Amino acid sequence: MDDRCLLDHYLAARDESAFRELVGRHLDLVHAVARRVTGNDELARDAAQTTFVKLARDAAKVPRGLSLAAWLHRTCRCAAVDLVRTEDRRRKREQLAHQHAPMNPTPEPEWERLAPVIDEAVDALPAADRELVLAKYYRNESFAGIAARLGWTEANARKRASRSLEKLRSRLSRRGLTTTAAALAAALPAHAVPSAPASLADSVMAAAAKTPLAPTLGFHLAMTTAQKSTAVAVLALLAAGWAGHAVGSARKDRTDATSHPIARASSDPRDGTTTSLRETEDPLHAFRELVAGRREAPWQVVSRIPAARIPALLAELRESFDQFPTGSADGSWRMEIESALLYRWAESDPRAAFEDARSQPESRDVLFRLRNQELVRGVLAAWMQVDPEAAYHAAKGHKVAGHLAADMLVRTWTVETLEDHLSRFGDERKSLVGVFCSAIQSDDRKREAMLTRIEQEPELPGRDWAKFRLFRAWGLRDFDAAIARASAMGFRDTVAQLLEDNLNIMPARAMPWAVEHDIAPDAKSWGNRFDGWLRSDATGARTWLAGQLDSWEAQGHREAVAELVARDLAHLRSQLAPDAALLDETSRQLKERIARWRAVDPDAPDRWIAGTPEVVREMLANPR
Amino acid sequence: MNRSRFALLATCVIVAFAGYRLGRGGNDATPTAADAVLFATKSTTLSSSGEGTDLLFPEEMAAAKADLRQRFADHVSPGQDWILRHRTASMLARMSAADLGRFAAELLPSPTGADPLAEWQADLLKEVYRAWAKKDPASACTGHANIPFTFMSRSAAFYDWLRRDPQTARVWLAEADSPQDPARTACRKWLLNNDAVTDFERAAETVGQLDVQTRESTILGWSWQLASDRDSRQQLAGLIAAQENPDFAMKCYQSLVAGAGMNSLSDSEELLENAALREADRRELFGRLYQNEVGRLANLDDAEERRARLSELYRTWQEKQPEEIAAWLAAMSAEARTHLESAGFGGDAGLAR
Repeated sequence: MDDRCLLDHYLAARDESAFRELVGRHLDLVHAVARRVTGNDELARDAAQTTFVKLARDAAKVPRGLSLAAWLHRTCRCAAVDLVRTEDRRRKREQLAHQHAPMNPTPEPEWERLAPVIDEAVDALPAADRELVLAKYYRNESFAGIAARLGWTEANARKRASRSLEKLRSRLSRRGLTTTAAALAAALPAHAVPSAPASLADSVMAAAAKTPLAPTLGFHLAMTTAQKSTAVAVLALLAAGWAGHAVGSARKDRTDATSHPIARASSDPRDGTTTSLRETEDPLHAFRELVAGRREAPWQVVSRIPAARIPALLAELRESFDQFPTGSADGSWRMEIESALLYRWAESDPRAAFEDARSQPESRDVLFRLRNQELVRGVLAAWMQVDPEAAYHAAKGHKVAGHLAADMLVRTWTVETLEDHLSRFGDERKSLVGVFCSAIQSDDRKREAMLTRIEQEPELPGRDWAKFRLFRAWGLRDFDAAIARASAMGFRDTVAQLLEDNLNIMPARAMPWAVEHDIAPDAKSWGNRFDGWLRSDATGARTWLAGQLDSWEAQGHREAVAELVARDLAHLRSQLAPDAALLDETSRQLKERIARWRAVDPDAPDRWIAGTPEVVREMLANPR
Repeated sequence: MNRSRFALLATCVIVAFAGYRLGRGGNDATPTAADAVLFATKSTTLSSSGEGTDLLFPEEMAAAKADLRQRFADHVSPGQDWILRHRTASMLARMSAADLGRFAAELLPSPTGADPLAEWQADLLKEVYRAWAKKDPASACTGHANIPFTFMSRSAAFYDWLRRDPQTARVWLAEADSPQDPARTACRKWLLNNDAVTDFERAAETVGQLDVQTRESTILGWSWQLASDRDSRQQLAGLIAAQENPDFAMKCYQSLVAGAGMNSLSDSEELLENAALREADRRELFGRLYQNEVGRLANLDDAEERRARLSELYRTWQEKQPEEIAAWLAAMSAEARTHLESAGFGGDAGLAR
């Protein structure tokens, strides 16, 4: 039975055995924290006892999204700090410090430095990191156990724990305590939670057992009225301080949770900080209002729908698609809501949501195909936040989803940790390196870091493929910058590849670059490419061509001249309302240039004409 | 209440507040300005509609924008993350319409710049335009229209407006003194596209009032948009025929057949049989239809299904267009022909040599 079940059991039936079990599980941790903060055995016992008394009293207030270990850690630390700050306790502590030997007679130097501040640093970590550090390094839970409990893969739990430890190290170093993550990983399990004194459990249970009762009657009767008044005032002040602290801590836990992507599922409208939706409102009623357009903000409504209801609501929504087709404002709105529902489902059951998104019927309607893709992307976006590798493995066997998942997966990586990530992917390494390089090309910092590695590390795994994919993707986005950089790095094959790619895809950039770099126009291949330019920007293409014709003719590139002018003419004729003057001028020019060509090489124009498509031949025979 | 009790109560309040502060922030590093903005307690009054919200202070604005940029840039797929989108909408609701217009401009490249936006920038831009449209829809739908890459964001803003308040959106477009700028023309086209799928008769009536060029380009667009729906296709076929321009009809049917998509080959065949086309154009389009279908079937994963369907398609085409199929196969390289034959095209007898 996990902690939450035991706590619920205790709450429901005041079941002492459940509480005892919880004390047994966490006493070592609580006492160890208390001992480090107070530096004293007696105070540590008091702090530990206070912590469990508070648990007995406030069990219902332990946030559901927080592990009991994390709650106890923070509560105990606060209780211990409060004790130490009390003036008379402080004096006692000073006296005792001289009388008692340290708890660990031969602490390791590393741990001796860390012990006084480690709990404060752990406590200041974001909630999800705190949970992981406590589970793995304080309580020695196995990665497999953590992964099973949190619904991750073991590899993911391992990776996240390592990141959390790194954050802890960073926080310590900001306090001037230089250490390494490896040293922490060794020191924490060894020292963070030594066994509590054997008798402590009984005294904790005894104190906790009394907690639900009113203040001791005998003590109450024995006091004078003045004493009673003082006692009541002191109790009231303590209660007020405690209550304020508890509220503040709870808010802090929620804020911590919202700042971490793992726990962000609870940082949305459901946490009550950013919503005006009444908690008590029926979420299904709100959903129908949303679909009908009487409400805005889909997530505000969808996030409160129980996950189990989502498949039925999706079916209901999809039935209305016929009535509100794609391409209409209402249809787009319903698809937005559908996407929010899938995202919500993916939070609780990503595999089922993925299966639903992936198995949507294929359609030849382009908008519907886009919608299918967006649904898969949305589910993966939700899943990737929790366990990117599991999401990738689920999607990789599917054509579109696999591409999307690979692209999202590599966006969670860094250049520096590339090999570490790749080492878990066997045969897929080469392909993932390529996807990674394509994905980072738009990020200046990551791209530069990768280029440096490509330049300086000839043994980098998949280096050539990485180079090819990085420059190809970069070149399609920013041809000038990419080709300039490839030239500067002396990558001749890359320069040729970039030019070839972009002549096909972005002739408006590549053709002028080629001409500037004295690359001769190839009549056959440039014709189709020039067609592409004419389709996207006819005026720009025509203006540029006009500037090249005479010099090309002078250089003897007469076939290219004829080919490109003929393409321009064909494009003009294909327009719904062609510009008659321009059509005449282009026809005249084509005839004149072919005539000049024939004058220097009588057979060549006919050979060229014979090789052109029928439509061009017909056009040359009758240009208008 | 006597004085001592009141003093005790007041002291309790002070102590409770001190306890709250200790619990809330005692161990934390100072939150960043952006955190303060994003998690501000003021946000209890927030709603994504932007109603009843407090506007950001100028000193909070820069931090909020930087934070949003960072969150979108660092995300694997920000446009699909509903939690991020919701929080972003809540944040943007705290900016004025003018602020949102400025933020959009900051996200865009210069009017002469040709560099495409990164995916995250496009996603954030769309959120900004949608928030802008809630406060000043007319400005959002036409905002920064001279800069490339605002097309998708403006259309999202317009469609949101049209859904929320169709009457005002239509009146705005129909205003007598409405300027004929490209941004408003784009909105008119989006409205027509919306009407084409929801109320074809209304859309057809409006399109009939447009000049020839705009009318034809709009109908051509619908040929792509409406191709997958049988009823709409039939209505569109009537509208195409009414234009009495065979060249234009050919272009429309090219889109209808090849562009967007019928749900089955027989649908396409039926459409072409009844189309108001010149006979030569009809034959050409049938040829293209079968060629496209060969390409589609050749990519089927199931080898058995692929063979059966290619074999059936070959019989159909051969029966309908024996000359065209022969010419098409003759123009094909030997290698491509063999590949097609082995996939099942030609049936058990194979392709004639």
